[in-house]
Amino acid sequence: MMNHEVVVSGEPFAAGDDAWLDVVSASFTAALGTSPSMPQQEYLVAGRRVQLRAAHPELMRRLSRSFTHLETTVSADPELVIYLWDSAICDAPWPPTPNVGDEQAPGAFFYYRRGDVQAGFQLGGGAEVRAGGLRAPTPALSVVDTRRNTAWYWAADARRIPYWDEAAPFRFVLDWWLRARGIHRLHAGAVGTPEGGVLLTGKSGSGKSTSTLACLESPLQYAGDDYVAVAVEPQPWVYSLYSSGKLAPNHVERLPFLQAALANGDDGGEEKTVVYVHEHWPDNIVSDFPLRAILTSKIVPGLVDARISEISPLAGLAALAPSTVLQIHTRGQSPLAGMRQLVQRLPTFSLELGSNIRSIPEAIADLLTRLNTRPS
Amino acid sequence: MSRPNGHIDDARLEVSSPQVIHETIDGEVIIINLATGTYYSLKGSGADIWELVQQPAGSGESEIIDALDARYSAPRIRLEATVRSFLFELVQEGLVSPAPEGSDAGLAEFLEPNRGDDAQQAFEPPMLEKFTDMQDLVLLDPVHEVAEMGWPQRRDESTSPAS
Repeated sequence: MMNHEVVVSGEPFAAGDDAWLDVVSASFTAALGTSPSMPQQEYLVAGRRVQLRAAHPELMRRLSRSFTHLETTVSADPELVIYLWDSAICDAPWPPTPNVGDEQAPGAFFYYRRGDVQAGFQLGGGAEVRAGGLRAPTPALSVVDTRRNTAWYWAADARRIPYWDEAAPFRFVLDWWLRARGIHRLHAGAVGTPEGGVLLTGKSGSGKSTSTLACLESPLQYAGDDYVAVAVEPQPWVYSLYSSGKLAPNHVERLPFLQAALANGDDGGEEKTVVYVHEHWPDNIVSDFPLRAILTSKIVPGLVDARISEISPLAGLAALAPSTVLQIHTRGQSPLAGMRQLVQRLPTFSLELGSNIRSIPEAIADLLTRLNTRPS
Repeated sequence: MSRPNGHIDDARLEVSSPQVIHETIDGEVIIINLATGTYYSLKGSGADIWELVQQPAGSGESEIIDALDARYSAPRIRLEATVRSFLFELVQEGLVSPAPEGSDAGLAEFLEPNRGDDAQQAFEPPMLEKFTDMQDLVLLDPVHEVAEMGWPQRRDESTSPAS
């Protein structure tokens, strides 16, 4: 029987009462305790200064690795501050969490919104050991106040933050905060040049990550694999969020140069392997570039060289939207509307992948040469 | 509400917001059901019917049939059977549901009544193309929207979480 760690009792806060944010903040303060210093690091995320303040160095170590390529000097006036702590290492009380009822799925997500405050609680699991010798993911809480530009990320036990959250931290916080600024977090990769690049979309198994990571051995620059931030106005522009890339273990065979760069190759049993691009290809990763096209990837059995053909905007939206929207974990039309605007501004192409992996960046570069010389 | 072989009634139907979201590009529609992780595409007469249903007051069967009758050259009896069946399918998929009682009963009409010229078009039955390859995202990671009174909840200091 699953050993739930979520124990909720007592009276709920009054509806509309933001006092619970003070309790969240107090939990962080308790975690900081008598620590002589509070690790702080700052990053330019979509051109905005985002500062992390951790109650313990372990939190900073685990949750900042994927942002290293965006690091900048710590300032006195960041645009967003994210507080990081946990209860196990920091010996701090849990912050307020929702009534989860009978829900037991570790991936269950409880979403709350009132005005400028959005919060999400990931149920995670108890401390039982899963198949493969790994422990269940930790319960975790994400909160953002978009008016006060303050956010909080708490984990019950930072040592159980799963690899996918270490590879792409604060997805909900950044999604909610950036969206309030007209920037959308999309489930897509991006490669290109300073003159312009492409968004790479596709469902799991379509070859999206293979295509993105294959470009590391080419002159094309890398902005992301799984998630990127995109602005539609004044012109379509992509921003790197994370240095990480994820690939199914059996797909690494197609990209043998990745083998030495795998960050979790020894963890056996994980669903995906992770690479941190900035650690091995520091000259290939960039913070942003203008967007020229959207590519949807598809593996074609029997094909040798990659080929690109134009498709309808709706086909592009169908490739981009479902996986993005279904991972945002909130309701609402606005993420879909933003993506619709994007596919109406950019041409959409199908990227058909064959056995010749080297032909993938060649095909993309050829397309960009044609597009970057077109009047915009 | 109509059944595939039943009598037409005029219960107004509307998009099942907020769990169903949709966008239209160049006359083609993409629909995502956030509750099930299923997504759909529509074009042609299916997109036309969706355009009518998504209007603020929704639409009833007879209104939809009248609008299609004006646009397409097809026997009305064929339109009736096709629309009835298609609306039933949309209801079964959870994409549309009865509009609240008392909704404004304005006539349903296309926002763009003419496509290029005034001639009626040949009628192709609506087809709802369904994709279920993303359902795991919802099944494995169910999302619960928490009413204000469900969260946040104070922790009872006398009860400590098991570790």
